[in-house]
Amino acid sequence: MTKIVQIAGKAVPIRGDDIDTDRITPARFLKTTTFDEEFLKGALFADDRKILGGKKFSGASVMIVNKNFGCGSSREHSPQAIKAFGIKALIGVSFAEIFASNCEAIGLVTVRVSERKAVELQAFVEEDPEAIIEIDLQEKLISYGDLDMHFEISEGARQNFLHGTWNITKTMVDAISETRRKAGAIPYVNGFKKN
Amino acid sequence: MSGTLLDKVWKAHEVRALPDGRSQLFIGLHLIHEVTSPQAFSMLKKDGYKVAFPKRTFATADHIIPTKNQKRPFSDAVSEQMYAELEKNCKENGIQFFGIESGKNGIVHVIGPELGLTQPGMTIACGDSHTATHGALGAVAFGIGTSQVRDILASGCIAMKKPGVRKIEVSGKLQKGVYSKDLILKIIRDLGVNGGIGYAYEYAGEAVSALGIEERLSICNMTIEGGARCGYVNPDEKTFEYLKGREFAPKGEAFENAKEYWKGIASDANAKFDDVHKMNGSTIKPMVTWGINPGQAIAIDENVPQPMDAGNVGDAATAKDALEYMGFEAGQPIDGVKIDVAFIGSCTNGRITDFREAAKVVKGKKVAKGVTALAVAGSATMKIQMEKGGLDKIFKDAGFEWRSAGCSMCLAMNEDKLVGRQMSASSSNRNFKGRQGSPTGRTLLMSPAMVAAAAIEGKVTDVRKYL
Repeated sequence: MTKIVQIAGKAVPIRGDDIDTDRITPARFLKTTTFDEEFLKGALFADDRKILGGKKFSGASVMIVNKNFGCGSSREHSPQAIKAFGIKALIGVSFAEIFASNCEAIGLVTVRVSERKAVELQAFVEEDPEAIIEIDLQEKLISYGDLDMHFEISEGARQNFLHGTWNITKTMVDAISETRRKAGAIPYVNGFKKN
Repeated sequence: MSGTLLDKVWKAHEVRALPDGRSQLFIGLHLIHEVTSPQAFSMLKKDGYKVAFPKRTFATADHIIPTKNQKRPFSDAVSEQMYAELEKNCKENGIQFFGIESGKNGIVHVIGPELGLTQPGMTIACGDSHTATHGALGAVAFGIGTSQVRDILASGCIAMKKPGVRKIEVSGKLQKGVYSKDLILKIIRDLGVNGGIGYAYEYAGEAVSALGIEERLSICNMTIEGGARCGYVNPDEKTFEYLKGREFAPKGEAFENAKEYWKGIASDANAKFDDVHKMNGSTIKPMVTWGINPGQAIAIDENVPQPMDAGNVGDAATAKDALEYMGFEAGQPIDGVKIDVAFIGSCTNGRITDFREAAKVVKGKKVAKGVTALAVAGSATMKIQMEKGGLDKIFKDAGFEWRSAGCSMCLAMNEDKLVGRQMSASSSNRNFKGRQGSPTGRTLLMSPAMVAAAAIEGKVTDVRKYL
C-alpha cells in the first residue's frame, strides 16, 4: 500500500469559513453512480469556479482553507473531487467531521493550523503562487520559503498515512467473528429474548 | 456504572480498539439510499467482499425521486438509472428495499422511525449527514461517506473515535407558535455551525421532554448543522408509546423486554458530561435565517445583523458574503421579506405534526399571488394517512401543490428546484448558496407553520398572529 510521508507542491488558497459541500460539489453532480475522475474534476466548485484561482494556481497539490471546511452534506463526492483535481493535502483551521473522515478514508491528508497561521500561509502563496509548500507527516511540520510551522493531526490518522493503512475495511473484516459475537450479545439483535 | 446514553451504547457495540486508536463499532441498523451507496457496492465487488449483515441493512430511494409523477421509468434517465441500480444491488445482496412499489418508501430519515426500524439503544449509520435524526428515539446515529458505507456493508462496522457529549438543557416551555425547529435554529445560532465538532449533543430538559417524537426528530435532524455528527434525546414513555405496534418494533413479550432495556440505556442522573449548555426555551421566538448557513438565524422581530457585530473576523466575512448573496441590507427587518416559493417538507419537517401545524395557518386561506407553494410528505404512508384525514384538501384548497414523498426541494437532485434568484421560505435544513437548485437561489429556513404564513402573505411574517 502507498505510504504518505511527505507532500510537496504548489498550493491554492480557498478563503472563507464554513465552506459547505454543496458549494464544493453542487448536488446536480451527485447524479451519478460512479466516482469518475473527469466528471468530478468538473464538479469541483462548479458554481464558484473562480475560487480555484484559475491559471495562477493551476497544478496545485495543496489546498489552504479556513474554518469548518466541508460542513454540511456527507457526500464523499467532495473529497473525491478535490483529489481528482490533483490535491493531496488540505491545510486548514478546522474541518467538518464527516468531511475529515471521508478524506482520511481515501488517503487525502487534512492537517490543522491556527487561524492566524492559515491566513498567513494563504497570503504567502497568494504572493508567490509558484512556491513549494511541504507537509512532513513524520515531523508534523509545514515548510514554506525559509519558514516552517507545526500542524495538528490526530495521531491515528497520521499513523494511517505513514503506514498506508487508511483503508480500514480489511482490518475490520478480519474481526468478523468477534463482530458477530459482540452483535449476538446485543438485545435488539437477538429479538429481545430473555435468556 | 453510571454513564451517558452514548457511553452505554458505545460499550455495547464496540468490537475492539483499532490499531489507529479508533473504535471498531458495530452498526445495528444500516440505512442506504440511491445517492451514496452505488459506489460503495462497486468498491465491495472490486475488493471481493460480501454484505456481512444484509438483514440489518435496509434501503429506500429519496433524493432523486420525482414528486409529481412517480411512475417508472422516471422521465429523468439518470434518476431512473440510480434507482434501478439500488434496486439491483439490494436484490443481489438480500437487502430489503422500500421502493415506490412497496408503498413504504419515503425519505430515509422519515421512514426509519415510521417503520419502527429506528429503536433506542441502536447504533445507526447512513450515507447521509442527517442521520442524526434517528437520535430522537434514543439511538446513536451517524452520517457517513461512501467509503464508510462500504466498510459497514463489508464488516458491519465503522471505525470511529468516540465523541464527547455536550448536554443541551432547555428549561421552560416553548410558547405557542414556537416549534422545535425554532429551538434547534436558536441552538445552532448560539453554539455556532462548527461548535459541535467532536461532540454528540444530548438534548434534554423540560422543553425537550415536552416535545412529541416527531418534533424531537426535527431537532436531532439538524444536529449536523451545528457541527455535531450525532444528537439524541433519552428515550422515555413517549418513545415507547410511539414505537408500539410499528412494523419492525418488537411485539408482545419482546416489547416488554425491550422497554426494560431501553429504560436502562438512558443517561443516568449522575452521568458526567464533557460540556453542559443551558438555555431557556420559554423566551425563544419564531426564527428565520437571513444568511447562507443555518447559524445565521434571527428571531422574527429582529433585524438582519451588522457583519461587524459577528463574533470574529471570519464570521464577519461570512456575514458580508451572506448579505451580498441574499441581497439584504444590514439592519433591515426580516419580517416582510417577499418570497417566491414556499416549501413544506424534507427530513427535517415533512411529518404529520408539521403539516397539521401548517394546516392551522393555511385553512380557509389562499396562497399569495405569484407564490409557488409545495407540500411534500416525507413518506408515502404519511401522505395517505394525511389524505384520509383530509389534510391534503386544506393545502390544495389554499393553492398548495400536494406532492408525493421524496426529498423534493430540499436539495435539488430532482425536478423541484428554485429558478434564478427566487427567494424560498423553506421548512428544510440548509440555506447554503445554491442548495435548492439554482446557483443564485435564496433560502430562508423556518418552521413549517412559518412557511405556511409566508405562503399566505407572500412575505415573511410572524405566524403567532394566526394562532
